[in-house]
Amino acid sequence: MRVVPRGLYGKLVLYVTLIIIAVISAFGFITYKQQVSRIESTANESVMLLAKNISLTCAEYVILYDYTNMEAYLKRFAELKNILEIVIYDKQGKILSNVVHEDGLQPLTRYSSESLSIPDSSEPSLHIENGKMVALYPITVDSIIVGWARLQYGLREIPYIRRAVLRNTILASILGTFVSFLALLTVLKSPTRLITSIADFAKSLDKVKGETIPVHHDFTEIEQLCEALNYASQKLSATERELMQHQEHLENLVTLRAAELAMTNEQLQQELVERKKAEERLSRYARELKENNEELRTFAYIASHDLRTPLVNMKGFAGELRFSLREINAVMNDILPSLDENNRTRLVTAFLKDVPEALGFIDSSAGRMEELINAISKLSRLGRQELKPELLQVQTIVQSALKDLQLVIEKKGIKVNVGPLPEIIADRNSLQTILGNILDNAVKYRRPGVPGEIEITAEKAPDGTVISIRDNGRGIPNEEIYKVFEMFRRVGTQDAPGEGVGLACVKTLVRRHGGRIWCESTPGQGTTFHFSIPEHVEFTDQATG
Amino acid sequence: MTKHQPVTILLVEDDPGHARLIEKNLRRGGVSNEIVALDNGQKAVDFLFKKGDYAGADHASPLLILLDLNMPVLDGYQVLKMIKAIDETRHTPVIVLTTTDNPQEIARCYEMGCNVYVTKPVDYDQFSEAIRKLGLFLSIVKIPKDKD
Repeated sequence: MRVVPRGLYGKLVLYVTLIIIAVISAFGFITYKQQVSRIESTANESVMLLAKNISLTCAEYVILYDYTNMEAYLKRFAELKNILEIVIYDKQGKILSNVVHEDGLQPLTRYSSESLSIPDSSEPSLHIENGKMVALYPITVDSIIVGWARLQYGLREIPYIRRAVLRNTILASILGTFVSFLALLTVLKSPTRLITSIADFAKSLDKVKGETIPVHHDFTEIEQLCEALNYASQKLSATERELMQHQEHLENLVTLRAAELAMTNEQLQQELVERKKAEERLSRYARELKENNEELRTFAYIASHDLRTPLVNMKGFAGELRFSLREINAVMNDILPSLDENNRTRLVTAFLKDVPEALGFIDSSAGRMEELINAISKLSRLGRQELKPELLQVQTIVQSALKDLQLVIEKKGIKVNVGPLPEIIADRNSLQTILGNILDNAVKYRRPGVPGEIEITAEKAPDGTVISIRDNGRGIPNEEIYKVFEMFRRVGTQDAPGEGVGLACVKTLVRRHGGRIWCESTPGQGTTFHFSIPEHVEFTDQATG
Repeated sequence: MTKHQPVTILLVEDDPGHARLIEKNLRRGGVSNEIVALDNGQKAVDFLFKKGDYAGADHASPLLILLDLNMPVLDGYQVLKMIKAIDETRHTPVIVLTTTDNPQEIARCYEMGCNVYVTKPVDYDQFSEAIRKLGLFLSIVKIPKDKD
């Protein structure tokens, strides 16, 4: 991880650091210069003072030309620090003595042949010659120049001082840089805050709608980060827009579906209400039907009882009348001869013709009425009598029914085909009645001039066993076929005796077994009766007493 | 040819025509016993238990009851039940005469203790024949006596 960031931040740090270094360097340089100049001026003063002293003391020697003593004298000076060379010249500029400094003052090995160029002014002077200080001081006696003292002074301390100052300056610079760096690090807080604000921006990107974060061009990474975040923000807001559109679309869809659903629901509600009504109607019908059925049964029962009572009287008293008539007839033979022709005829017509005729009609009508009542009563009983389920061989029942009809079958040469018949669970008497009645009809209603044929078959059907009895009889006209199972209705030519109640009874019994009965017929070809007995019989209208 | 028992026949029949026909045919069949005809069950009960109109009456001779089932006030079943429920009358023979030949009704009557069940045939000849035969039957039947 880089501590000093690049970009804006890095630049800032760099600039500030450079400025600090420059300032510190400048400060160090000035300090250095000041110190150097202070050292130099001190050196100048001391050199000038030394040169003056030398020149003053050397004046006697120059006048006296006492060189040896002068050299001995100068040696004392040479022991002073930084004295490189002391040379005494005469007034013409001729060297009188010289001392060269090299690790302390030593006598020159050779005398310089060079002579001093006499300066124009007689004033002492100080100048720098090859980096060394050179002081030229006149040696005077009573203001008359008698010679010159030249003192060369080597500032050996100055490089050391320079180096120390330089070192200090560099140290101060480093220290200053470090301090400034530290200061900058504290300033780091502000970029951190910037980053924090960017982070906050990033966190709130989900709430930002197309906003952008200002780009900080001074900070490369932050710039990149900002750009990335702005891109993300734009992407996000684009995605959000898309999402909004989707959501809107979805909401529209939902609204639409909800409306459809509401409509469907309403329809369903209506249907439900209608269905409920229909169910209520149905159950009312069922109740009414049951009541009607009950009423019908009661009616049938009452009819068989109560209609019989007057009938008994009708027949009974008709019998009584007939009895009385016989009495009358017995005495009439005695009376008749005594009557006149007219009265005799009237009496004979009344008692021998009209009354017996009337009694005949009363008898036959009462007889017919009794038949009807018996039929109703039989049907009423069949509708209520208790049925017992048992396993029956249909074959056995059919054979026994055919046996009852054997006489007619043989007499009329009727051909009977009995197919394989199954065993079923049903009430024995009912099945006998059903098969007996249908077979009886098949035998009874033959086609004139055609040998009779009867076929009995059975097959498994989804709702149980279907037994079919086919004949080649006269058939039933299509428009009359509905009457076949109705009470007292008889179809076709009434040339066979019957109450017109057989098939009504059959229908009642089949219905009570939970089965169906129907017939197909073609006039002139024959009739087929089918009836079904369910596999699991459950008797309806089982007698309650 | 007939040997008459001192038995009173109690005919309980609401239909006067039937009552008349029954009586006529009984007579024709040779029954000369006293016949008391009552037209409803309540009267029969009153007669039997000497209540109401018959309070204090004294029926000396044993009874034979010819009973119709369909009657107002008290029907034949109720009368039969009462007759068979009381010791005094339990042994009185009851012949049920009715219009239906419903096997269930017949069975019920026998269960309740009726002695003979006769269907009133609509056919006059049959009816008179049946009644006449009944008369013959009654003429030989031995009626248990209350006392002696």
